[in-house]
Amino acid sequence: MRHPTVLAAVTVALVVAGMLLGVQPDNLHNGLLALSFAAVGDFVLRRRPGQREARLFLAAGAAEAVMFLGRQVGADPAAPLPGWAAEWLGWVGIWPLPLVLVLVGATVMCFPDGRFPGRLWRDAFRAMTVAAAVLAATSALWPVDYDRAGLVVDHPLGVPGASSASAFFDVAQPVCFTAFQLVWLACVVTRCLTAAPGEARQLRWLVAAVALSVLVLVAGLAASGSPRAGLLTVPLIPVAAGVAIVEASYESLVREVRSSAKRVVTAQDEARRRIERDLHDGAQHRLVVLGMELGRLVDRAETVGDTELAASASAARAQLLAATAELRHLARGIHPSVLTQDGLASALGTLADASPIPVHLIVDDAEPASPEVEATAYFVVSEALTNAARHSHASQVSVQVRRTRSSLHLDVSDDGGGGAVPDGGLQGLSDRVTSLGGRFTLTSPPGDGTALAVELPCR
Amino acid sequence: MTPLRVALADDAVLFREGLARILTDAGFEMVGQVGDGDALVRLVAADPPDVAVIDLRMPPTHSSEGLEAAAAIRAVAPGVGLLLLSQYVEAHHALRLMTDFEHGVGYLLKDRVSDLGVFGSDVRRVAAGEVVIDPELVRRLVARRREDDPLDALTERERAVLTLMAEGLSNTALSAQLHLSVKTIEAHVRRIFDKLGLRLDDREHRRVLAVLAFLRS
Repeated sequence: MRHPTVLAAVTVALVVAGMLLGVQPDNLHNGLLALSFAAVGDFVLRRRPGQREARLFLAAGAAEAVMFLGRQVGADPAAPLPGWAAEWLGWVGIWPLPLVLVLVGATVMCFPDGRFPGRLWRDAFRAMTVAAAVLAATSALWPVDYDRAGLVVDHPLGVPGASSASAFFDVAQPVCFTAFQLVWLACVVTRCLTAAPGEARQLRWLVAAVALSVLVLVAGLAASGSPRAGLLTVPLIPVAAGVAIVEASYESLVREVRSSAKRVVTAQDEARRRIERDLHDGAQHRLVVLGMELGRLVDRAETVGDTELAASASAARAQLLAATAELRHLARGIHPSVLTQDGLASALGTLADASPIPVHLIVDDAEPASPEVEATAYFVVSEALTNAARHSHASQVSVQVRRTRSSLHLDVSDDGGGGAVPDGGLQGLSDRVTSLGGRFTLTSPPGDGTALAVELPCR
Repeated sequence: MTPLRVALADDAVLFREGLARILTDAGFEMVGQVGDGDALVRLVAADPPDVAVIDLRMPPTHSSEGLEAAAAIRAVAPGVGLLLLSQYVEAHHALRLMTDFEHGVGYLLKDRVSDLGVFGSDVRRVAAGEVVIDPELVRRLVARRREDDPLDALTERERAVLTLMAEGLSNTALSAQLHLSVKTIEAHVRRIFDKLGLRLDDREHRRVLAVLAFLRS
């Protein structure tokens, strides 16, 4: 089993052990906070191993669980443990509080990526840790915080000087804790102000959870004078943070998949362009030159009066021209050079010219789109016209292209028999459109024509 | 008779040299052959030939450098005939040529050079200020299906006249090709324009443009 899972399991075990002693309203939030930190930390680490913020969550959860169990034991007069054990456990539930608070604060400061937003904040964290260590040491040596936490056991160490320690602690603790909270608040506000859009979205989750928690706290204080309700909503904060982290990692995964799909399309187009260019510069030219030579041969044969040779050379030339025409057609199917030469409107015009069904073509493309978008538009119209000619029995096809600021819209519709299904060609084009982040909608009810709507984002 | 002088621009060396050879064989005089549009414009400006034979797709971008070179030549040497060759012939290129240039232009598929008799006469027609449009392109345009096709109203003879007219043939050339008198040809042309609802312009160039635009629309 992985270490994070072990740690989360230990955390849960500690909380469950504490719960067995009964519910103590003033300590409940510690147990819930431990559970939500551990659960969210483990959940996120399963999806994104090594995520730093989730590791902080696990650490905070474990620390909270230890404190929870200690306080459960120390505040329960009937705890089924020998007196000395109850004393030490209660002790463990009290003195780490300032340090645990700084750790929880670090999860807030480091949200969402598990790193401090800058050196200044890391230094602030170090200063807080030092202050918290002093408070924790004081609390470890003397029972300065026992009354507030409602502990019924005695402090296990009988160090003299308890009253001066209490005097120090009663002033130092509120001052430090207030300062801690101000630092966290300033840190989160700074991060919100400087966040990139994706991170800002994640921060919104956290800010919403904190706001809700504060609202309940204030409402609870106003209604019953107790922070209990407010403290019980604090465990929502790690849950919200976890949701934000998972959502963001899902979004970045989607972005990655999308951009890699787009790169595949672009690379494919580039390869097709190169093949077409090679055919044009190579084979096609050689064949034309060969045709020229055969033409000379025909001329010579005619000049010397060899009609038989002239006829066979002429037949060979006719064959060659047919082959050239086929190659030209093939090259055009690989990549329409007219698209790079003259733009989308002209390229679609050549498709309309070649269509056996009359085409009503309207192209409004004030602004050229990217090569892969234009190539996709061309191939979609080409395939749609081919399909219409083959299957639809339509008497007219309408092709409309509209360019808006953010996308290119294609509408191809015919008045044929309908019932078209996305077969090999159209399915491939649908995939291609999706790869570019676009939408592909085919509507073809039997007997009522076929309409194909494609939207391609252009940014 | 002094031989017609031809300049040649194509980045495919094999094709260019082959073409220069057959044009020389056919009695043309080569004034030079180059690999891109800029070099052609310099060559033509220095010593204007009768015809420039230009590849549509040339360096640096391999898009429509040939058309740009043609426009530049027309600006510096308006008397030079412009014959554009391409691996693909497209209606929109033909229309653009007919719109941008008033006379003495041609647009042919590269394959045409294999029939030297026809190609040679095409070069001469362009040199003489006539228009030459690739027959395959015209055939494709005429064969296009239209809704309530107005071409259905034409007789077979009229269709033939329309096709040859779109290829740029003059009335005299039409009369020779179809073995009809010029007067008969003129009557056919008037009737075709009436049936298609087009306005007849006496200038042959305008006539070709009108027919091509109609076939394309």
